[in-house]
Amino acid sequence: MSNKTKTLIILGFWLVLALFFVAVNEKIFMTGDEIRLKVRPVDPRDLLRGQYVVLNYDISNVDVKKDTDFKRNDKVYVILQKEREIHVFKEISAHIPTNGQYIKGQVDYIRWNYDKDKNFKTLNIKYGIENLFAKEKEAKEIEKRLTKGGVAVIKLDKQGRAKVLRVE
Amino acid sequence: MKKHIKKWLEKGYIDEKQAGIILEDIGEEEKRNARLAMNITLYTIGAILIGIGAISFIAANDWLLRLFASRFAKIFASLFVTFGCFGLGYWFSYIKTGFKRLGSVLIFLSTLLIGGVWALIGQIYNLPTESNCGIFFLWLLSVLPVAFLFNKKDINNLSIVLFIVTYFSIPNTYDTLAHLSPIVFALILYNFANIPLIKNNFAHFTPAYKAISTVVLFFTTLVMFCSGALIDNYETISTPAIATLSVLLIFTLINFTLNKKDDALKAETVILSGISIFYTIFGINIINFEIAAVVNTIGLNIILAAIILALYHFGYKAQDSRLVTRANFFTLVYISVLYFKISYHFLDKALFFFLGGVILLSLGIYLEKQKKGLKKHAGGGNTDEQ
Repeated sequence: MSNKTKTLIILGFWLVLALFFVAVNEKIFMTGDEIRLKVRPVDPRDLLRGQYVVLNYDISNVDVKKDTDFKRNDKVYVILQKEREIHVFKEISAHIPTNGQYIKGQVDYIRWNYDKDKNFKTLNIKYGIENLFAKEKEAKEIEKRLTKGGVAVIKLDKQGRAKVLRVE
Repeated sequence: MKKHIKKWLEKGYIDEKQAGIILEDIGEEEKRNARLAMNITLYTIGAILIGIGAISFIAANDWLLRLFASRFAKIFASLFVTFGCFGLGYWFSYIKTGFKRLGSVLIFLSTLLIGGVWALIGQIYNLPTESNCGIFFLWLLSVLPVAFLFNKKDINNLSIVLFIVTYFSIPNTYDTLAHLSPIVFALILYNFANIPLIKNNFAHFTPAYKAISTVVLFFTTLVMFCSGALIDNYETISTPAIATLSVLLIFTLINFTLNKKDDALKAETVILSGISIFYTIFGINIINFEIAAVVNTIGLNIILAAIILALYHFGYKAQDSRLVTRANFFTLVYISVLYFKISYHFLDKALFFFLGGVILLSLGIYLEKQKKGLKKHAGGGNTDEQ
């Protein structure tokens, strides 16, 4: 195999990888519905991709009955309902809902409530929309601006996959 | 070499004129090599700095990057720079003669820049930071064909670093493979190095794979011995770990079956299979706890001793001082750990040192005997002392 062929194979392979990587993420941007979720930010840093804001949503913590069978790393579907302009939690399911707008997540950890009177545990759910990358200064500004809470604009597709667009 | 020339001059093998010519020749060669080494060092450091600069530039997410209004323009620009760098590298390496090293360095730089492209895409689409593993994996996947198609050792070393980072950034590894995670990593790398296709066609890649996996195997086993992690976690059955170790055992045996004539591979297969079986037994949790505690101590020490002995054996056999140095270092660490771990009482320590001393002396006799055999085999040649 000549060096020219090897070069073309490598560049072609990189291009295919790039197109695939972009297409997978772009699909939600192109076809998803725009929804708004209540959010509170925290501000850390990623060595590879820089400053970002960690977004903690109202729907990130969901209370469920203690006897429900949700475990760590389980896939869950949170059904949303629109109240004014904001989408809020309606219901949680371990199976794909047949109707309604829902967002897909994964149980990150479970917080148990040891109070005998309270018959619920709290699921901390990750939806893959917890990070918003920004300029170094901008990340601090977003954090300041949203300390009392804000709204995140999300693109959500029919399969419940979501991407964060911006925060307001 | 200069020492040899002096000796040859004294013995009368060469006269002073010949010695002068040879020395002058060696001097020029040394100067050339020094210039070349300096050149390569400058190129390599320069490329690494540019690569890190590019990734930091993307991480800064600053106004310059924001000049490209659309996300597609950003991705296209970063791909254009990366492809251009690779293309220039190819041109300098294989078309325009005289700048071969610059060409190699540009190809190396492009393998760093492609990592920057994946980071940029991750940033644009706000991918979760937990998915850095995916970005590192894509980077590894992009680098591997360059290393293997162009047979480049430096890019292969980058791929090893990326493999380490990818492996250890897989989310929930501790949940699935538990404390056996580093062992699985080391066995994957060692078995990969022993695939006949890799071993025969990319022999200069394999020492790095084996060196890293040996270090990981040795130190993880040592930590298991000191911390008692296997016994502490004995109740936990890790099905993914058992499954992975079993697949790796099959992999080891297939490698051996495909290359039965290789003597070194025989010894490696015994050790690798032993390690896989030992850790699988502790994953399955089938033996009684008291017996398991004893098997744990004896087994881990056998593995540690086997790694050290294998390094001495292969090091002396291949006259490879790096392996012997590694074995010496491991022995020193192992003895130091045993000194503090084995017992508090002096009589026990005394017995341990007597026993250890006898074992090391026996090992020394064995190695000297082997070296004599090697000299005899080489026709009593003048082999350098290790």
